[in-house]
Amino acid sequence: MGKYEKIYQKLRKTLTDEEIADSMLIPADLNAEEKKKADEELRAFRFKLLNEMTEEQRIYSDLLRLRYQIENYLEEDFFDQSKSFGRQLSEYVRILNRTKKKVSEDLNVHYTRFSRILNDREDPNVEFVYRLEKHSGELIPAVIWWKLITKRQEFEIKQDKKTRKKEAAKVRSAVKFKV
Amino acid sequence: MNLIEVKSGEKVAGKIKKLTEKQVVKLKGNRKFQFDWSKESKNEVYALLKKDNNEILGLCSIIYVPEELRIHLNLIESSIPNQGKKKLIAGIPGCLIGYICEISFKQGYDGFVSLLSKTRLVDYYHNKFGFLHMGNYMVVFLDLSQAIITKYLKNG
Repeated sequence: MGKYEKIYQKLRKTLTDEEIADSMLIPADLNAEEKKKADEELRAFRFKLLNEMTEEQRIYSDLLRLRYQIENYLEEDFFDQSKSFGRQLSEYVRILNRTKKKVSEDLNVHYTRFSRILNDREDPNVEFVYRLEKHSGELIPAVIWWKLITKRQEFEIKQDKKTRKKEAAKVRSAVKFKV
Repeated sequence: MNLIEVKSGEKVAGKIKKLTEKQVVKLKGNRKFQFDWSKESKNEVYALLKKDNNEILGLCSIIYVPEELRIHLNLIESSIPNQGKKKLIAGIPGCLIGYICEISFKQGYDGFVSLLSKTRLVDYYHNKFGFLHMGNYMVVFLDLSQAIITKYLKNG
């Protein structure tokens, strides 16, 4: 009896099959030959799938990759210029395999402005990120794009000592605490 | 995350964390689990924790198969209080599977995730999560994988 079969038989005394499957994944106890055959079948299937992947499927997969990588970055505590809004937008354009001009037209944004956003020389507005959401087939929500901007702003607010000092000089009767 | 307290029907806040090899080894003899999870120390192991008190609700282990652009889901288990008719929290395996599907997309593996289940239990994985039969293996990818993520991780 395989090691997982033993656990399964033990569980069967108190749980139904559905309850077991609902609580855990019990691997199949395959012998070496069965395992080899199963591995070969799966490998052949995976390569066939990769070879037959359509352009639409590639874009779908790549857009989700981009989305989850951005979400991952947003959860991190640090700011990284190489993951800025403009850089992620450039990656978005690359994935779609369309020209920048074409994407700017798709979004109904003037090409000059679009280029400035791509180069992080201008922040997009809320309308722009709503359009991006729609344009991505709603695979990348507007709020994720927006958080890329606020993440950079947060970093700048923390770092910008010069502006902080300059603006502080304009304040009168600031509240003071002795505690 | 779609974790529900069975008694109240209310959502439970959870988080998923990758365990270090040391942490996995320390799971040996843990009475909240049926499997000896320390044996998974050479694989990547993820724990689903209750956000408010860091209680481990479930574990899963995965193996990367980069030459096939896939992740193999080796083992999953909800903690014993969350097994069977009297389970306290529902949705634990779904959240863990969804998280692994997300890793697969992030890796550029098209959300491709495989598992090798005991034959008697395969229908459950098909009906509940949409896994497809591929010989002895079961697999999800692309929209099937994304559907699990949406259902268990992205529903607010």
